[in-house]
Amino acid sequence: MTDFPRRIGDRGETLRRMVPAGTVLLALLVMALPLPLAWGVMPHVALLFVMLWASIQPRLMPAWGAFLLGLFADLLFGGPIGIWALLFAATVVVIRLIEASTEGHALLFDWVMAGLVALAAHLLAWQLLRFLGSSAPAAPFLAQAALTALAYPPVAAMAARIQLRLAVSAD
Amino acid sequence: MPPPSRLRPARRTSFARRDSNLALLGALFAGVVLAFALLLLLLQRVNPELGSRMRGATADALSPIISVARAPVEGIRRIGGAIGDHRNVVAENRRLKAELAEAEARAAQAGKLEAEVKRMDALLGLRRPERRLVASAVASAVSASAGQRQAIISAGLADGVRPRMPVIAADGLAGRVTEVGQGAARVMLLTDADSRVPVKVLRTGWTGLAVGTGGTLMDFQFDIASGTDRIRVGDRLVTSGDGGLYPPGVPVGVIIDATANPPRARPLANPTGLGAVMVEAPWLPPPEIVAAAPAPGEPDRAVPTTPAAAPAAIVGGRPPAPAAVPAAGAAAAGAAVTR
Repeated sequence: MTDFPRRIGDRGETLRRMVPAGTVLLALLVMALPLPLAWGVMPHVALLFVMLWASIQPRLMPAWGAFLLGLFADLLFGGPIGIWALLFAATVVVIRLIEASTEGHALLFDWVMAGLVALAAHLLAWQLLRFLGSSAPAAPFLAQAALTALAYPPVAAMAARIQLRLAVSAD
Repeated sequence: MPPPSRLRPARRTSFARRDSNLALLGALFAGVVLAFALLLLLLQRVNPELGSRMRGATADALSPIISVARAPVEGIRRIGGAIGDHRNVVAENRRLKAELAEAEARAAQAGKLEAEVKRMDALLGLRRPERRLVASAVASAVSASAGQRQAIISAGLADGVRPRMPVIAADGLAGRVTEVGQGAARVMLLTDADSRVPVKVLRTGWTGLAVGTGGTLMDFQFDIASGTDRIRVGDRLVTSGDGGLYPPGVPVGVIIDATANPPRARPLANPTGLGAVMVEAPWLPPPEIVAAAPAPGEPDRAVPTTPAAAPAAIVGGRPPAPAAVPAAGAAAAGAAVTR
């Protein structure tokens, strides 16, 4: 922590700080690929990364960063602008609150919390879409929320490995 | 840092103070960001056009990224298809030969019918609106967000593409243009939760709507038109031309689940492998209203007057109801006035 000011102009350090946002961006682009998917839904990997980074690297995933990433998601998916921007930022805030009120990281607890947050985010996304005049049914959103919850452990493992490499390259 | 005073309690270190101040500032900032996002959404609720221009511009920026990224996916799909083709090439060949013989017979019939229809049209002086190709483009699907099924095509404003234009792929209807950029446009696919396409069942002629579900299938919503016939698996849906946007007769989907209510249909143009598509002008553009005098009445086709109607009512066995007589009289008077 204390050596932040000294390293702030360092190019490698700046790049290192972009890594969490980069993973979210990459996840969004992967989600936008025309993959032949069974139900046409994919887990919302980007949302999972936002949650994970807000939990393990809160400084590198501030609410405004999540907001900008969400804005990109909205433009990419072609929906009304602001839905995922709002939900990503809200996710960061909620995760901070959960972090502040709990201690330790048991996988099962984190998993259940991530699942609940994902479910709430998708239900909100659905309602916001309807509020903005779409007539989307709930089923695809619930399916995506369920898949997102299922995808938590592998994505968490991935984030943990990236975090480890970040820490190593910082030394 | 000031020395500890006796009058005031020891203050926290500046470091801790700075930390808590930062946290407070952070929370405030997060609140501002959330409020801004909400405001953005509210503005779009009030004015839906607001977001659409921005999205049109991003279609331009995204089109190259996605076309590069989809190359490996497309390649793998092709290889998979090629392997599948090789494995049952003999059986496929036999089947195709049989189908070809059948189709040739039908094609001869169709040629005859086409000539007949043309002759009839000429006799009637029927005006059929023509389909007009605006641009052809390559499509890539943007598919993994819940509820939204969209594609980006590589033609935009510069090629004459406008919102609402129907987009047709090799296998059937793909969707319609929703937003345009300079060199790329966004297409709402048939399976998008907001997509509604007026269709008819090719076999029975029943009309209805193919409604996107946001998944991979469409619902076929229709009014039951017959007590004895029903929708069957394999029934083909084609555009009916209602609404004037999509040209009639373009294949849309095939029913795969007839027992579900409403029946489920699969789009014939695979949304994830659209490939090359055509953008057409709206089939029947809305008429431009011009001032014109109303058509004059035609005396020889007027309603028959009371002397003819009254005896018929009496022959029926019942004298005409008292209320009917003045009404008939009024009708006759009306006819006289229009004349």
